[in-house]
Parts: sequence; C-alpha cells; structure tokens
Amino acid sequence: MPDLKLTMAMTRWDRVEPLICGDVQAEGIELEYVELPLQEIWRRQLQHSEFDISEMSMSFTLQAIPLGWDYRVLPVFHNRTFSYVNTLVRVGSGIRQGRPEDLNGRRLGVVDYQMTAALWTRGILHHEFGVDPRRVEWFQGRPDPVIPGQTEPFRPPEGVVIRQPPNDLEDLMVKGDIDAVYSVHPPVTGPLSDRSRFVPLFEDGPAEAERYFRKTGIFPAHHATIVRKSMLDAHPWAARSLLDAFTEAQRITMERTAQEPPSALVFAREALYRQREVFGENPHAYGMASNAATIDLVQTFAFEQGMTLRMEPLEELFATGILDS
Amino acid sequence: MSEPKIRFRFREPTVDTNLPISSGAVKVEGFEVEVMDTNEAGRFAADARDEGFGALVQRKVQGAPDVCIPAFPNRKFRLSYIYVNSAAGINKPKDLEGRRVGILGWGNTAGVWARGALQNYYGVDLTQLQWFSARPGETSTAKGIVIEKLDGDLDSMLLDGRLDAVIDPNVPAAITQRDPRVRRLFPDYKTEEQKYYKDTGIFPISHAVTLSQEFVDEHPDSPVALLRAFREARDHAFYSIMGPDPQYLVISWVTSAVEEQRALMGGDYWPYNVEDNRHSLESLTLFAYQQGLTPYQVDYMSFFSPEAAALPGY
Repeated sequence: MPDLKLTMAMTRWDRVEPLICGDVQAEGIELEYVELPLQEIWRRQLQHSEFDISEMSMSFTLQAIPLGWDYRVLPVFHNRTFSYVNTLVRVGSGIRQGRPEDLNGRRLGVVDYQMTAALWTRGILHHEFGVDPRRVEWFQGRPDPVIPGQTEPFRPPEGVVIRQPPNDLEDLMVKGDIDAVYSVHPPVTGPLSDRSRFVPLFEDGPAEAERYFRKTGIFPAHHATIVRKSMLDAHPWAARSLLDAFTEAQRITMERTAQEPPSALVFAREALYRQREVFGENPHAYGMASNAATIDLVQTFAFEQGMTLRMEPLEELFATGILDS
Repeated sequence: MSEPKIRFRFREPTVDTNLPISSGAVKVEGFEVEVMDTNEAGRFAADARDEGFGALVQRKVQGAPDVCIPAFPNRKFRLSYIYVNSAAGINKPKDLEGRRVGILGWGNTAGVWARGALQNYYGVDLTQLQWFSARPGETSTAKGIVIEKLDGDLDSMLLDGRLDAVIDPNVPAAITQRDPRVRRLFPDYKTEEQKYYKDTGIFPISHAVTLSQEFVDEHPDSPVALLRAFREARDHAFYSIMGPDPQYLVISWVTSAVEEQRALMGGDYWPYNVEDNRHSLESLTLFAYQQGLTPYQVDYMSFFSPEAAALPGY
C-alpha cells in the first residue's frame, strides 16, 4: 500500500513515459499524472504551487526558490538542447553566419528575456563568442513572467538595455527594425521561414553543437523537475524514490528505442549511433554528478545576468537526500 | 451483444506502428481485438496477422486464400542488411559474384529486397553467387539459381569466414559490437540507401496485414475496419516524431533528423493504400519472379480486399 499519493504535471517525454503509464513505480509513492501544456504548468505552479511534482523552467526555478518558493529540484532534466545555434539572423543586417560576435552593437529580439532558452543562449554567446549583453539592444516580446516571492520587477544588470514589451518580433524582423531573434527552433512557417531573408546563426547547427559539446561537455538543460519542499520535509525518502524511478524509466525508454526505433525516422538507428559517438552512452543522464558542470554553468549565467543575487548553494536548491547522486 | 473478436497475431506487437492497436489505445470499429500470444499461434489460426510480404507472395501464388489490406507496419531499406566478412575482399556489390552468401530463407522479405537491389540496381548476376539457406529443401524456379543447405549458424559462419556474406533481416550481434571481422557491404549505408531511394523511388515494404478468407466471409466489413485502425495507429506513431512537438528526445537531433527525413522522402512516405504503393508492390512482385520465388510475376492487386483497396485516404 503506497504511503504517498503525489500529483505530477509534466510533458509526456518518452523518457518519462514508463513512469507515467505505470511500467515503473516509485517505491512507496502513487503518482497521479496530469497532462498539461507547458505554459499551463508554469502558470499553475508559479501562481498556485498546485502540483507536488512538475516540470519547470530552469530559469524560473533558480529565481523563485531563493525567494522562498516551496519547491526543491530533482536532478531530472528535460528539454536539453543547444538552442543558441538556432538564433535567427536577418540577411542584410551585417551579422555574418557563423560569426556570433557580429551580434555586438545590434538589435536582438527575445520573447522573454528571462526564459531559460534566452538565459542559455545569452550565456553561451557571451562566454564562448564574446557577445556582451550590454552591447546589444534587447527587444522583449511579451511581459515578464511572474515569479513567486518577487517584490519588485526584474532589473537587468547595469548597462543592459531592454525595450519593454509588447514588441511584435516577427514584424520587427520583417521590417528590418531588429537584426536577430532568439528562437528555440527555426520557424518553418510564416515570414521568418523564408531562408532567403532569415537564416540561423550557424549554417550547420548540429556541427556547431557537437563542437561546443566536445569542447565543454555541456548539454544545456532547459527544464528541471521540482518537488514540493514541505512534502519532502515530511517524507525525506521520497526524493530518492522519485529519482530512482525516473532513472529506471529513462533506462527502459533508451532500451526500447534502441531495439525498436521510431518508424517515422527511417534512419533512426544511424541517428542514435551518431549521437552515441558524439555524446556518449547517455547525455540525458540524471543525478548531481553527471550534471555538475551544467548546473554550475546555468547558475553562473543566472547570476551574471541579474536573475539571482548569488550562486545558491546546491543544498538550498536541490532536494536533500539526492545530493550525493 | 458484444462485438465479434478479431484474434490478431502480431509479429512485432510493440513496434510503434502496431502498438496503438496491440495495446488497445486505437480500437477497430465494430470489433474487439484479441492479441494472440505468438507462442500459441500454432495451436489455433489467427484471424489476422502482420506478416512478411515475401512469404505472402509465395503463399498467394500457391493459392492461399488470405486477404491483404494495404497496411504496412514495417518498411525498411535493406542495403544495410548485407553483411560481409571483412577479410573476404568484398568491397562492392559485384565482388559478391562467385562468393558464398548465407540467407535465412529464400522467401525472407529482407532478402528479396536486397537481392532485387543487387540484381536490378547494381547489376549483380545472382546466378553467380553461391546461396546457402538456413531453411532446408529450398529451391528457386529461376534459371541458374542454386540454393544449398546451410550447415551451421549464419552469424558464426560469417565471423569465421565459412560464409563470405550474409543477408539478414536483423542486425547481427557482431555488427552491434563492432567486431572487426565483419562489416556491412555498405559502411556508409545511410548515404547509399538515400541514393537508392532518390534513384528508384522504392521504399521497401517488409510486412503487410492479412486476414483469413474465412473471417472476411463471416465479417465482410472487417478489412476496411482494420485498415482504418491501422491508419490511425500509424498517424499516432508518426505524430510523435513528425508533429510540431517531437517527443522522441532520446535522439537529440530529432528536429534536424526530421528535416532531413522530410527533405529526402517528403511528408507522406508511409501510405496505407494501394495507389501510392504501386511502385513498391510492382517491384517486390517483379523481384520475387526474377529470383524464382514465384514462377510468374504475381498480380498484387489480386491479394487485396477490394473494399480496402478502394478505400480513399492515406
């Protein structure tokens, strides 16, 4: 008889599916899975702390926990991607493909300055290529997120200029009023999909991502898993039970995918093989040790970019009981 | 009054194009699907199954009454399934002439496709290869094709050189483990298969769904109902990859892999109908005839349920 019934709101990631459908059980825990779109999860968690466990934006997590939000992080990361390579550049803006340093002195659109994709992109372009956020004019698309515990609006570091929303980023790009825009995936519909006018910052995104990964070992994580802190305080064992369950679910998915890759991708085996060559057996591994460098870097970026006042000690961010994982 | 049962024997119940039906997530309208344990298959006949198209062609030419629907849950390029002993000096398809080649069985669908490519695309004279089949007593009606019995295990005989090459629908452990003693005939198989597709337009069909004639006689609406369900299952499997939000992120580059896939084969490369598959069906029956699986080129239209063949849609 499970001791704990916990609600969980998360994308139906293939790596999590065995846990969602019940092939894997977390010991002592009965999970009630709630399927919701991400923005809904963000809103209901940030505003109401509605679910015991959920997926959450890394950036919002890093900001809210130090302000007293009742959650801790499990080192179970989702949505890992090298979004910086997909920064979309306007042809004729003077930004050469493959030359990120050309972004200095230019006008950049970003849907939300604080969102995780922007956090990572800005950080990598700065550290790796010398794109200084103070030398870019930022245009924000939509209003700031509401971070629980915030007593005043977000203020970027001295010298960083953000043109306040609303800004119609697509329109600004089309009219030539901004030079580039952050996009997680290059648009495949609409005016920005016209590759004669708008191109990704790197012509060969995967090649650049591989180069970066080989050099740094960093595989940027956009989303984390958060767990209600007050629940963990009452049941400290739950963190480990959940981490083990997520890990087992991932293992099963990887095994199944290797044996029966998705039919739609005719060359899936080759893609998996190639991935293993570059990224090793499991680039999506969970746990603190496997993700130490990535965690450290995303915290560094959040601090440098003014989203946190300091680098939080890991024991104040992550669930106790899995710090040695 | 409960719905009639279809007892379905799945060769691959968990492959994504079958799973929605075998798991019950997708229903067959008017029927209850009973998934048969593959171990029990010998004890009583299934009402429907997915099966190798090569075997089906052979059975149809012998007059088997089974009814096919244009649902093809398994399709694969087969150039990557030709393996060679690394020391055999086989670097291109023509080098196979005069060499010893092992196969699971002459009617194995992967083999039919691979041999069809070797003969028609690469100009290999199949009569010049020494064929060894794991299935005893096989013969080919094609002039000059001699099939001998394989005395041993395909994989170990390839490893130790008693066979120079093997065509195997599975990936041998030695290949996965990168044993240097064996390799693929085409090491850069992805490029080769993409080129094959661009040049020939063939996307080989491995499995097709069939029903027993007896079941169809009793339930004439079953072929169409089953086809509709398989289409839905296929859409389900494809949406998770080709849809706006790919979930298969075990493969990190899924979005660029999908783009590459689309660029090569378009958006609709897995149709469940007859019209869009004419070229592949025509090719398979031609190869089967060329290779002596059948004494003449079978008319594939005769396999299909007329109602299912006429059902519009993808």
